[in-house]
Amino acid sequence: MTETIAIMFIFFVLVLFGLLFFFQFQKASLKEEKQELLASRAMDTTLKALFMPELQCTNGLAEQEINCFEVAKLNNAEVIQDSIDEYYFDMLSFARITIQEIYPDEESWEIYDKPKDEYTQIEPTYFVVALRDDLSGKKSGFEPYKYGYMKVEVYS
Amino acid sequence: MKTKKAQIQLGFNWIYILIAGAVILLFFVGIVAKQKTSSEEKLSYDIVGVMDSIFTGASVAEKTKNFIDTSGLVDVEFYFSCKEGLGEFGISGQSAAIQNAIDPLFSPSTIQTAEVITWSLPYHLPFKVVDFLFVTSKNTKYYLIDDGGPFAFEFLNATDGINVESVNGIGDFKPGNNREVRIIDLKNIISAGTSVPDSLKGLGDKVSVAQLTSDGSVIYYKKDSDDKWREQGSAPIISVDGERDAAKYAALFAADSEQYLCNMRKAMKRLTYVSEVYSGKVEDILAYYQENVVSVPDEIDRTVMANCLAKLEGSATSSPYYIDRAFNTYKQNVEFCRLALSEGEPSQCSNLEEEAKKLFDLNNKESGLQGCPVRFY
Repeated sequence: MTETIAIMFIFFVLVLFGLLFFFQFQKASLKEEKQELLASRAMDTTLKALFMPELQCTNGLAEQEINCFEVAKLNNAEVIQDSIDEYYFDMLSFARITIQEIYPDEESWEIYDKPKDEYTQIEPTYFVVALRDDLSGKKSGFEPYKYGYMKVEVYS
Repeated sequence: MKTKKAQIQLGFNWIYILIAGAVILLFFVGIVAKQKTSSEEKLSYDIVGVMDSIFTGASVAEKTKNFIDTSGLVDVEFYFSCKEGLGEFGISGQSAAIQNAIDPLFSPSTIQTAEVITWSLPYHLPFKVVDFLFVTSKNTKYYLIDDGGPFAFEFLNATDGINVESVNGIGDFKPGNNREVRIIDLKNIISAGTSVPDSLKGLGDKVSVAQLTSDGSVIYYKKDSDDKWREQGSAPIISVDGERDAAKYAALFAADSEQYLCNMRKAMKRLTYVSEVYSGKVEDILAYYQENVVSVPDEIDRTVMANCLAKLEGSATSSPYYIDRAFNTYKQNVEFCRLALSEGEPSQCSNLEEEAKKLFDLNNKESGLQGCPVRFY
């Protein structure tokens, strides 16, 4: 009888060890999946921001120019920041999107900022864009295109 | 006595071992069954997540068709629904689903196929509002009852790669192995109460009609239990016409009027924010012309600036100028149309179409800003 109980005890201890190893493995696997999901979300947010009609260059008859933002629209994009909670959060989630001009000047625009309380990680993504400033070209004699990048930081 | 007691004890030992063994076996079988259910659920969430990323990429790739191999998912039925401005897609019978209140998506109600086809067109009113995503499949057949008009020709060219066939009348349908059939009736042959062709009766509820009317609306028909066409709903097509009219194509790809209007509601909501950005831009353009009409050194350039400024100001000598009034009226109609769609009154959006056409003419026609250095879109 005593031997039987001892065997059963050892058996369940072994099962317990097996379960512990299994749960540790699951934990590591979930952490890796969380990283993948964050990277995927960063890519989705960047794609959506790059193709927003609120920012994208148009070329008459509403043809879009890809990888190009209009400076006139950037200067009037405060509606995005003002409408985060009612609309744009569903599209862009917890993120910060800034456009930085590199050449010829160094102007910047923060068009979206919704930080997460107690975030653990920020995943930045950079994308080179052209900045078209139709309203300055004629005055200054320069071509209307400027050079810059978009920075999308996704919170986790 | 002792021998008898030992024999009974031996018997009890075996019974005890059997019970203990069965309990342990059941324990592990329970774990395996739970893990199997959990894995299947996780897989379905993964599938839906991946499809969502694919749809995001597909929707921004304007005027491009994507052919997605889903041969490993032929047993999976995807469903697409849209209610009250909130779209949802997921796997039938599973809890995995994704909701989307932003991106308009037009598709059959369910898709089960080895190849999913996505196509994106930008929706203009008159400037770009949002990309419309059309999702269909290799085994969804579109029969176009050709009226010989320009739209039929354009549709057949534009939908190259999609399972579309042109027919002359309603007797030419051969569904074959296709899972679903959509008849696009440009000749207005089909009406409520007329019989469904024999070749389509076996498809059950997977056969439908989208009929474009001359007054710019779409009417949907479904097969009823008596194998006759029953009108399912209708909706106005809110657009400024032109080539590759996304709203018109959306009406033809949408499952029914409910899905079409629900997604148009998403587009109108987006338009309220896009139009605010353009409203600010228009003010900057007005200021630009007002400044340059006096400061540009070249006399010819000053004349051009003056002509362009006159188009924007109209006959007004101070604010609000013509463009301000036109844009304010436009924004009011956008809001009005958005509310009308949420209340199920889409016919109230006709004024918005007129205002959008005015802005289109102002931006693109010779009587407007054509030839001007800066236009508003």
